[in-house]
Amino acid sequence: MTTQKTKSKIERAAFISALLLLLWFLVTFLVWPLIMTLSTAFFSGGEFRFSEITDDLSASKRVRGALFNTFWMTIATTITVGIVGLFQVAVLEYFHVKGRTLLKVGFAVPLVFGSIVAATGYKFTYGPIGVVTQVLHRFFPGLPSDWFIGGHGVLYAQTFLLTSFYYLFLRAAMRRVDYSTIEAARSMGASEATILRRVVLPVILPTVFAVMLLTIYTSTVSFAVPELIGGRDFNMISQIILTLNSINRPDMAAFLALFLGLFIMTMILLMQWVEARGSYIGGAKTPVPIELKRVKNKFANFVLHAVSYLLLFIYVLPVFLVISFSFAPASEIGTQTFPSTFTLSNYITVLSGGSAFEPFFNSARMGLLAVLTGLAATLFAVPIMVKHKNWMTRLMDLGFFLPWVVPSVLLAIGLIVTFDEANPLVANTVLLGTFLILPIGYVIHILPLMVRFLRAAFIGIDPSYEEAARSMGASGPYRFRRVIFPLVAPTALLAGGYTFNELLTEYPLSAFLYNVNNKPLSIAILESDKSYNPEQAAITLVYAVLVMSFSMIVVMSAERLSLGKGPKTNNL
Amino acid sequence: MEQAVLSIKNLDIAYGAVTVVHDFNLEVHAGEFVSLLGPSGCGKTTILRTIAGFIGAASGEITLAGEEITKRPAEQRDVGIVFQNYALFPTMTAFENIAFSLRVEKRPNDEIEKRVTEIARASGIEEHLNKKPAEMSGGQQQRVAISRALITGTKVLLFDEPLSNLDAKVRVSMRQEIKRLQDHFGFTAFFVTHDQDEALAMSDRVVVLKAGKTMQIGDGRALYTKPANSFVCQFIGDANEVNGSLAAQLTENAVSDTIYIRPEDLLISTGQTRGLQAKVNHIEYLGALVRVECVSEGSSMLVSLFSKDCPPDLKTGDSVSLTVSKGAWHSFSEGGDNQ
Repeated sequence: MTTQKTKSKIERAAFISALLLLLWFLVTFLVWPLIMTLSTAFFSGGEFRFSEITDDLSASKRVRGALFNTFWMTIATTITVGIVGLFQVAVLEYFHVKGRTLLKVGFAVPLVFGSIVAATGYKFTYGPIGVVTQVLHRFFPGLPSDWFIGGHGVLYAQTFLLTSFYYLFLRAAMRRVDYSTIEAARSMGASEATILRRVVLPVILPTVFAVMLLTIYTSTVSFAVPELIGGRDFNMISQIILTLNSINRPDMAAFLALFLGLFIMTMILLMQWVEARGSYIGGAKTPVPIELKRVKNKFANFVLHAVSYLLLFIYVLPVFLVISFSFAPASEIGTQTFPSTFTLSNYITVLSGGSAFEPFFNSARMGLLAVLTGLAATLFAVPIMVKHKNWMTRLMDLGFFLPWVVPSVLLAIGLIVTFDEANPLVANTVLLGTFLILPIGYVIHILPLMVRFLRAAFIGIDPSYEEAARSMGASGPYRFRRVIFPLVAPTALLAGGYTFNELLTEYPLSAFLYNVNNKPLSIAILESDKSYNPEQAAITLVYAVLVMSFSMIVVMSAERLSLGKGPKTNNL
Repeated sequence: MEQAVLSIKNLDIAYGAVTVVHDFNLEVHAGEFVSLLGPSGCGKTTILRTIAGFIGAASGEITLAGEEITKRPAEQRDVGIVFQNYALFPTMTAFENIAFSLRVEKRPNDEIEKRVTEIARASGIEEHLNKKPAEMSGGQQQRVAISRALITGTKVLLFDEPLSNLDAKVRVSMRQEIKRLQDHFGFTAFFVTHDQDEALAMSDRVVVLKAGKTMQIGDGRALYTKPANSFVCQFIGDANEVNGSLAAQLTENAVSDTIYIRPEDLLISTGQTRGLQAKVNHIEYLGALVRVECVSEGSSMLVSLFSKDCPPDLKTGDSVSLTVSKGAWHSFSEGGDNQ
């Protein structure tokens, strides 16, 4: 009995220490940096100044231009992504199109081909040394080689890169449409158009709105795509914040970052409101899965197939070229439309260590460190948040939720203005310029996603498992280790894989916080893009292929876990 | 008298300011099978969870094998629980599920192997030890759950409606299985259910609960033939509630305002002027039995009789006379006692 008491005392002390550590982490690296950003943006020498900074910002032509670009780009992207995304979902989940599996794989490309890797791929395909540009030159010799660079190129790339939200969420929403309601409408004489408008659309509309808001959100903070494809004259807001920070105007950078943050928060709150208001719960306990509709009009059917396969071509082309040329001799990059020989030498250069391997190793190391820290924090905190409802868990909830509404750029500015000098919260060290500053930012960045994943997993656990273990004498840590953890482990692994994959090519935080000790993959890719060295370009292609391969593993596991089998076709 | 294995004295349980169980008292003796029976929300599962240590008692005392355990944490009480859904750990095999508490106690591997195999053999699941719960039938899962609860030598098993999710046919075979295992292992069972058939078929004694209060404790026969109050009378089996003049006509006696008559105690006859005159409203033929619903002065009464005793030409709309054998009714004083 006494040993049991001592044991539970030790457990309690360990628990409280872990809780304090978590609170310190959140306060030091999230709350305090945000407060410091506010103070940097609005106060100078203890004085409040608002008009001065807004005057400075509005006087700058580049700032005005970036704001305008961000504004129109976001509206245009939302429209074009909406059109392509809705078409994809209709092709995959509503109409019968031949080669559905192939299209499904093709349309899934943005899931594994995103961020800076995709931007590189699009530039490699359509940019000055791109294959498409080479082919076009044969027909239009006068075409400038940088024809793709600029706002229109960014819009083109974003149109096909941001459809992943539609692919993921709207398809899931379509799966919730109860097919018996469509059959009921048909039996009552409704036309196909009426069925789509009156039966299907109301079910998926809340998701359509949510996905559109997600597009707005992503386009607003877009960073890597305009950096690579926008060229010198097309800047968006995140780029301007980076520039302002580098020209030693942290106040202006902080102000713009806060402005961006406020906009993003509004978008997210709006999104939650739309989701909550429109969440549709069908009457059927077991909805009948939807059956794909054959298009009877031959011309319409031809157009449907033609557009589907054109889209497939657009999606697959950059990936195909990146993979092909990653196996080509470096000398053929930018000179050939297809490699004449294949070699593994680029892969050997990257994987055999040395300077080409270093950014990859850095990103993997920082990603792993961040993911393990994030998992430790969330695996500890989420069960507490799920089980207990009190002021402390609400505070923790808020702490984990906050990074979701704080754009990376704002977080980065916060970390810079907080840790650019010795800070008592971190034992009076200067964190900026050290290896750790970037992984710390990564941890904060991935926490919300991990919490969302794990919260669902923990809520799904039958409480009687834990009670059963308790009744058999198991202590808290033992119950967690033997009963609860094995149940959430697949989700934790998936969350870890997902976030690691994201961090491998993370750009916004990296752009602000990297230094000589931790130069990550995304920065290396960007630098090689600017170097015009074929050897460097070849290495970048290898990076892209390696990142894509890893993403593919993660996405395929996720797809298996969440969506299950696809619908069958109606034979009528 | 033999000391009770499980003894509960003056137990009150509250959720915040609301007391949900009032002054609950019970003594369960070794090897006894006691059921807690009541409608949904009467507090039966709450009592079970309080004995297990998942809910704290507001006041009162729980004693297990002579030791007071009222304030002891769940993991330090030596009671086994069989949950509604069995709560077998889905990531572990049957073997690991059964071995769980032995592993908690850090027993050596060979001892664990021996004890798990022994209990699995006795429960008839030896060949399923390497299966995960999802690969086992409901019956096998139940046997694993019981073996798991018994492995450390626990003498008292709490059952939290373990049969409620099963269909009627499986339920009957599973309750026989529980009884067989009880005979074999000799454990004391505390069984929570809302199904009166289950309670009556399995239990040595049944505790009938209503809104957190004990209505009656007794064996099945006593509850049915000598209900302590109108609630038990109507909850255990069917009973016609008959008021005022109808009661007087039926019994041909001066009786208190309300009496309760079992459907099988009502006699039905045609062409008689004795007793209560009624019309046949509905007839249900159930094979060996016939249930006849009669209506008199707007009140409906159910008569249950063997098919062979039922007038063969009886049909809906017929006029009949209803009578009741002398004394074959229950009446209760305001306090609820049987008179």
